[in-house]
Amino acid sequence: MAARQMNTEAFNAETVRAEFPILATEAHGRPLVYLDNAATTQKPQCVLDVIEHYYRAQNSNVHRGAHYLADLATRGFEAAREQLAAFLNANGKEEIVWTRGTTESINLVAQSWGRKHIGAGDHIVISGLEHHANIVPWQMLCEEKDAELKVIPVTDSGELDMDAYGTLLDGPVKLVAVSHVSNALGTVNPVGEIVRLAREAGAITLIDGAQAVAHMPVDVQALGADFYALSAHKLFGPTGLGALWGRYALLESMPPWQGGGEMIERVSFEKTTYNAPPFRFEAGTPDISGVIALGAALDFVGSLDHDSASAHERDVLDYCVARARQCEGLRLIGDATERLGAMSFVLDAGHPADVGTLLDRQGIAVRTGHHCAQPLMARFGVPGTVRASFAVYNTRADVDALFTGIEKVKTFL
Amino acid sequence: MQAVPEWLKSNPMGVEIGTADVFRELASCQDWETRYQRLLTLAERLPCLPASTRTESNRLHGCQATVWVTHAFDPVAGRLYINCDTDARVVKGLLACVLSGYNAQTLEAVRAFDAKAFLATLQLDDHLVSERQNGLLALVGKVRMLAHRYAA
Ligand SMILES: Cc1ncc(COP(=O)(O)O)c(C=O)c1O
Repeated sequence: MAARQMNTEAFNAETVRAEFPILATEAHGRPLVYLDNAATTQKPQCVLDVIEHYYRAQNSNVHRGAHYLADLATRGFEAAREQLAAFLNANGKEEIVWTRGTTESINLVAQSWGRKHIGAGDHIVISGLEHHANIVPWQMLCEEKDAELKVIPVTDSGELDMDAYGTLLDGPVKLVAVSHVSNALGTVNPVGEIVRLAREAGAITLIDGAQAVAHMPVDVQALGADFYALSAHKLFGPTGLGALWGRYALLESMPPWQGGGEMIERVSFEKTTYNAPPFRFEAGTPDISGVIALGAALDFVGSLDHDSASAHERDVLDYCVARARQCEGLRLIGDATERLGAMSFVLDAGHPADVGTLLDRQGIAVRTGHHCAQPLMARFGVPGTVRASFAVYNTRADVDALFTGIEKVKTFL
Repeated sequence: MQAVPEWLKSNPMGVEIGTADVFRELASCQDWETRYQRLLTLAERLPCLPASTRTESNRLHGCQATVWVTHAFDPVAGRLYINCDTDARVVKGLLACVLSGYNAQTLEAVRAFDAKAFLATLQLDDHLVSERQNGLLALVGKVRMLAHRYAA
């Protein structure tokens, strides 16, 4: 694989881009400039190949059939679990539960751990930067259990107010759930500190890592959290797949949340006993090809020289922010010191929806709207923002195209 | 039934500017820039709604931009008057296109107007026309519902 050789050479964005066929396509007859990576990243050829190969040569159900193909599929499936465990520096592959994505991972914790441990009057702390996926499952739980949802306020720069967080921890807090990186603003939250303080207060912690994993190494053991949620499709892998990492002892103490095949040890009409984690939480036939393809996506990430890839990403984002500061009539929404992957803004000239439409017409894909973070938009008093979000294959040329596009938008509005 | 207010009657869509005019303006454009410029010009022809009508109950929900719709039915003439407003100008232009087939029309004409088919002739980008989020489909739904209500 070409990418594998890159460990030995400096980062070459063109080589990386060449692995993503979609980046060479057009939108409205213009070369595609894909700046919507926080919504989903594109997929490298190796991921596409693995999906096709799986259905051509491996397709079979996992953990069931005593035959050649079933064994192939199961081995591929479990090897990917091992790979993701290593990627996150988990204590072992048993700590990785496959889910449909970050959303399902969070719901799993809310429904299984949460329904068992949260009671009337307990507090659950989230932050004002959260994606709806890390708000609504806790609201549902609080409603059911008569518990209270507390929110760490967001400062004008789009960072968490850590003093206020300290004060919230004086309450009867059972769980703290915050994002590693904000999808709407790109703010990198001080999750190490957040987790440390939560542990001191005796609370369990969940980190929503959806926007972190494609941009930075994550070491769940060093982080010290109890749960970490992610989506494969934001990590160059397929859609509809994600994972929950959880401390094994915690997972073991948790009841199942969905019943069916795979998750059981033995079933009779009198009593069913449950399988051990992670299988306890994986009822039904999983997304086998997706899991194996995520393995390929992790190979892709592993093939990059991490330091130079990171430096490249930082350079492109810094360049974008610098251009934004010089752009007349553009207002950055959120201006955190630690920022990764995304930049949000509004233009005086017009509504984000119009800006998005007129950029799209020029082949530039950005996301506009509330980014599934309506409380955050309300906090900044905007109906929504335009968000440019980046992956390792984006370049300064993409940023230049964005700002050329923005100048053109201004001539319309 | 109150008389149709002047600011509603002054909407030129469907009166001075009919569907044929909108079609002529947009479908003939050689490039997208011109088409969007003309769409924005159409948006400017929609009179602004008085602040008193920008109420929660007049809001169209499920749109990225905030869209308000007001209407009045003139039972004597049997015509439905409709106007929309939004802070997003491309969206407003699209809404104006739809109103060229709906505003100041009889209930029969409203029911007979196939907004989606009309929009499809304008050479606009498919996703603009089909996207739920911009309020176009919500407007069509609301107007058809009104036509139904007043016909009863
Ligand atoms: C921070 C964050 N959390 C959760 C999610 C939900 O991810 P998924 O839709 O893959 O479950 C997203 C996706 O946009 C996100 O950015």
